Amino acid sequence: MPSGKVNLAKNSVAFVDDDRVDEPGFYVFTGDHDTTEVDVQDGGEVETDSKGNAATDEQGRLAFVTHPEVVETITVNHEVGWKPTTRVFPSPDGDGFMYEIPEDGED
Amino acid sequence: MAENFSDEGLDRILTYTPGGSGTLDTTLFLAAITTAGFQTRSPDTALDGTKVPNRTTVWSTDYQTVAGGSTRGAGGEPTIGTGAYARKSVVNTDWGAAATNGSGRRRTAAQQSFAQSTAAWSNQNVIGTAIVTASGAGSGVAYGYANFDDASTVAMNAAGITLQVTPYWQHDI
Repeated sequence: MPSGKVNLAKNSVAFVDDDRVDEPGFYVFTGDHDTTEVDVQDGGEVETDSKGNAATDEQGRLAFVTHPEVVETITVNHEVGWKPTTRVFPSPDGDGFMYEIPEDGED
Repeated sequence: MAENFSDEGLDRILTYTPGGSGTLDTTLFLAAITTAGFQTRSPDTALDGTKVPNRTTVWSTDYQTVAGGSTRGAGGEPTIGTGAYARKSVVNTDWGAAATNGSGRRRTAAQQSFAQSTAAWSNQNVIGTAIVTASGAGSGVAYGYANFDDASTVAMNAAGITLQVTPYWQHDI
């Protein structure tokens, strides 16, 4: 059983309050990894209206973008089948999570 | 030329995204987005209660981890672990059945509560949420971004604040 602070550079922590866990709280998620290659596009050219403002649709979305160009291809890491495993607790100093219940209270 | 999806077709799509036995992601995560982010890849339009990252944003690199001021994007999610901020896990059974809403079919999830803050979040002015596929920083994709329906900004600037949202997922015909 690990102790001390959770290394968030190597571990993922999320808040869970459903029937996958006995008690609501913060849990370390673990599972398999996968990667995909993704083409990253620039913002393209945004159409403007007669006043020079960016043209948006009725919901305010920048819907009218033309000529986006692929500027690079990146590798995106994916969490595959990840599930909550070890429960962790907020650190009393407000920075990160701990494997043990802090002495001055639970989360 | 006319074209549209059918309700039964949309309902079938909605069994995959999210929820249902064949879903790509049995668990999704809600992540807070804040005014520290930017709408476009060039950081020229700051986010607010009526603006979210645009369609070409790449969650794992542009939005979530790249610092503001970069031509790549923003870095507008609060730091995981500061003030007890963490993404909220949304299991696929949280999503309700599809129902007609406006020009589409919608699945609405049970109300989701982020953990109560234990101190101010690193980026304090929350203007909405992203639905993402990963629990950890620098991974996964964002299916989308949304402001709050009332266009509000929630100040997560102290201990004892609980952010609650009710996400929905809609495909239009």
